[in-house]
Amino acid sequence: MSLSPNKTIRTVYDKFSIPSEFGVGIRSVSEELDVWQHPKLQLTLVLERRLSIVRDSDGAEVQRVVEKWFYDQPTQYPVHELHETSVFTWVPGVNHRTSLILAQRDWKTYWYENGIVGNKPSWRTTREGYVVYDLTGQPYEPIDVEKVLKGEGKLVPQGPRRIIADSARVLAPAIAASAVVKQQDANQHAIWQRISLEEQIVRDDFQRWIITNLKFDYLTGLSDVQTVIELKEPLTIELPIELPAPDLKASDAQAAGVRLEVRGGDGELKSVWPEETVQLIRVESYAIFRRTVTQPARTFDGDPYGLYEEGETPPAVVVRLPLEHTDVTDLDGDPASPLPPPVGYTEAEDNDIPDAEGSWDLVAEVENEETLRGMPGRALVMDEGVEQGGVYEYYAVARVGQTESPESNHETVTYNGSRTFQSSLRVLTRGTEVDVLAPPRDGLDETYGEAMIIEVPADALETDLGQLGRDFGLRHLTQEQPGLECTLTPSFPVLFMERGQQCTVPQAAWETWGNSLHLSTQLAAKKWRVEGFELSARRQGERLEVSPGRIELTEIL
Amino acid sequence: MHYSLALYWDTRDVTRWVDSLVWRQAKGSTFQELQVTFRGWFPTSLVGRWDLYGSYAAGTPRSELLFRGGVIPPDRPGVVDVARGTVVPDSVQIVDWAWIAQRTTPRTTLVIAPDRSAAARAAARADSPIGYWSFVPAATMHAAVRKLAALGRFRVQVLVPDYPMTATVIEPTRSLFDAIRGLVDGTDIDGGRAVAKSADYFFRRDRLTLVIGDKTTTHLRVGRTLNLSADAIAGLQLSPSPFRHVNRLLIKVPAA
Repeated sequence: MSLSPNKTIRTVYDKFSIPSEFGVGIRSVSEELDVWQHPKLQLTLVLERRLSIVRDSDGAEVQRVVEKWFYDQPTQYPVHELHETSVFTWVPGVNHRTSLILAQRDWKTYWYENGIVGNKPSWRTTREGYVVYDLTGQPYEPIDVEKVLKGEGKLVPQGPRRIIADSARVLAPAIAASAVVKQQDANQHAIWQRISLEEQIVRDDFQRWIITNLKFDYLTGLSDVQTVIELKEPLTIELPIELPAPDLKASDAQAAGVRLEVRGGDGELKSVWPEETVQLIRVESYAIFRRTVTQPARTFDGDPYGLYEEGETPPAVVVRLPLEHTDVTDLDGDPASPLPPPVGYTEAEDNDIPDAEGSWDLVAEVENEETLRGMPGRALVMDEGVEQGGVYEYYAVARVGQTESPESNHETVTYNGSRTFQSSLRVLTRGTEVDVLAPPRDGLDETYGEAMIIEVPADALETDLGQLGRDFGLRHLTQEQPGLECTLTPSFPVLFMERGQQCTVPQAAWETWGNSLHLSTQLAAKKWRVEGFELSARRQGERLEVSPGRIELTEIL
Repeated sequence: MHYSLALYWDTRDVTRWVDSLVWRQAKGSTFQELQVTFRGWFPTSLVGRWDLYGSYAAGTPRSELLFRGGVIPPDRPGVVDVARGTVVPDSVQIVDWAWIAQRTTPRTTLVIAPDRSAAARAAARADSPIGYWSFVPAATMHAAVRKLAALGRFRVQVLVPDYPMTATVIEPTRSLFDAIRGLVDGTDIDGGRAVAKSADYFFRRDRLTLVIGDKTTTHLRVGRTLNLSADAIAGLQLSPSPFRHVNRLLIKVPAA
């Protein structure tokens, strides 16, 4: 049972002006499509297409193309294809009235090797149509039977005998080349005949197609045969791997950063035949993502430390007002220039782009570190891009090729760095007590040290008391790491000094010899902070002799 | 290289009367001080500003303002010493503006609270009855510190974590600086004063700013960075940092 159309689409392209291939001007083109639509599937097949071209001068239909596709079933290729072109033109010896006449017909047939529909199809196209021949220019000579019988005259057959076989031209190119003479007595004639044959024969070999292309031209008698071998696409089977979510553990690793440990996420491939087996699919890599929940020293863009405050700033010169000076001038007697006004600014050295809260960043993509086959995967990462006091959220995914597992559990870590405290809360009648214990110090007993009791006017309802205890613990209980203090004697008086400024000291190396003992040591280049200084001057005659003094430094840890 | 120092009292150059001079900032101190011994001094007034200039060039003796707006501490006894028949060298201690800023007190009792009703409740609930008080609206510690610094006419840069605040009363007997330290570090229960040795307090002189940081602050910048080359160091002495070990901290948070 062949498919029959259940829908027709008609389209008219009006005000059209292109030359047709048969050499006439065009007013409009209309197209009708007969379509078969599958009632349920998203499948549409065109069964018939009728293209009609109307001549510009008188509105006559000058070309009609009918294309038909014959389907037995809704498949990729039809069984037959028919292309018919009717044209309004002069066909020598056939159509002198110049009416619409069928000029060319293509008939294409598809078939499959072994009848397996869906394979690469073989096909054959046969083209028929009018072919224009030139005739010999000799006048018509009737057959004189008597002479023939006497053996003098020639038996000249009519019609085909006068055709010049080499002059064969297909109608459309002949019109395009202006080779058709539109006169009734012209020495031209058209014959409906086969024009060409094209064939593609596909043979199915193992893993390859053997494709033979054959072309035969009936007019010239030339043929062309080519054989192409195409490899088939390899057989690939996409196995649906379902990777389970891996397991993530995140913890504060103090000085090393945040320790992130991922485990699992290996897929399982189950087969039931020939026997029931489970194959573990090894995780290739893990990707770990981080989100910054809060981070200290970062409030908002442009003013990370909240330095800028709107409104009127306190005037700078009034610092001297307690000394009740009203006529302040500078040393030359001019009015004192005010101190530079405060501006909204951020620290010039701080060019880091603050982390946008809420965005997930890829922290690390690490390969599976498990080397034994059949063991669940694992990986260990230290995230060092964290700031002390920040709160970070992590998750991980396992990856095998393009397949990615769902997100693992989300872990939130408060990174306290190398300082961790124990704290406990007690709720009393008039407030709350946060009891913070310092971590034990190496070489010292746990009970060594003193206790401190302070009162903080924090809002107990709004404050996260654990965080408050941590903040104050960091400040009050910070056991300074074994740092150094330095008393430095400069070789010349250093002016402009104040406590708190940074100081870089170059690497100082020294050696000592004492009898057979040789000591060599050095001071690594580090940053120091000025904690205090002294610079003295003593009168020597007319001028003050300035001594270099000393600078007290502490190591910036 | 030429080094010169010049001491000015108000607009007068008094360098000629200086016998010896020590400019120092004690370790851990927020203010700088000058210890000046005069060959002879006849003060017309004890109120005056003291400035110390320094220079590396003889032509521009006042290129660096080293010490700005110093005063003689009013509580210092014996500034001028006169003995019959002799000129007694007088030694005067002068402290700079940070010392003044550190000792500025509020004129009235201050009640810092998020809103006026909470301030009124806190004032009514104060341990000792308070009379006239000023309301300072601030909901967080950072905001309160900035308000207090504005009252003291200096700027403040807080680099320690913030926390939401409840109402608190500051008596006029406490200096603003001590009140700020009480908010930042907490108030010692026994002494009723701000706890010493906790946060780091620096007065940043070029910006008239009090910088509050702690050991975990990484972005602390005060003054110009000093880069000393190897030639600039005549000698150095290293010692381990002393530390005070507090192993337990009890934070009392009052009910709102």
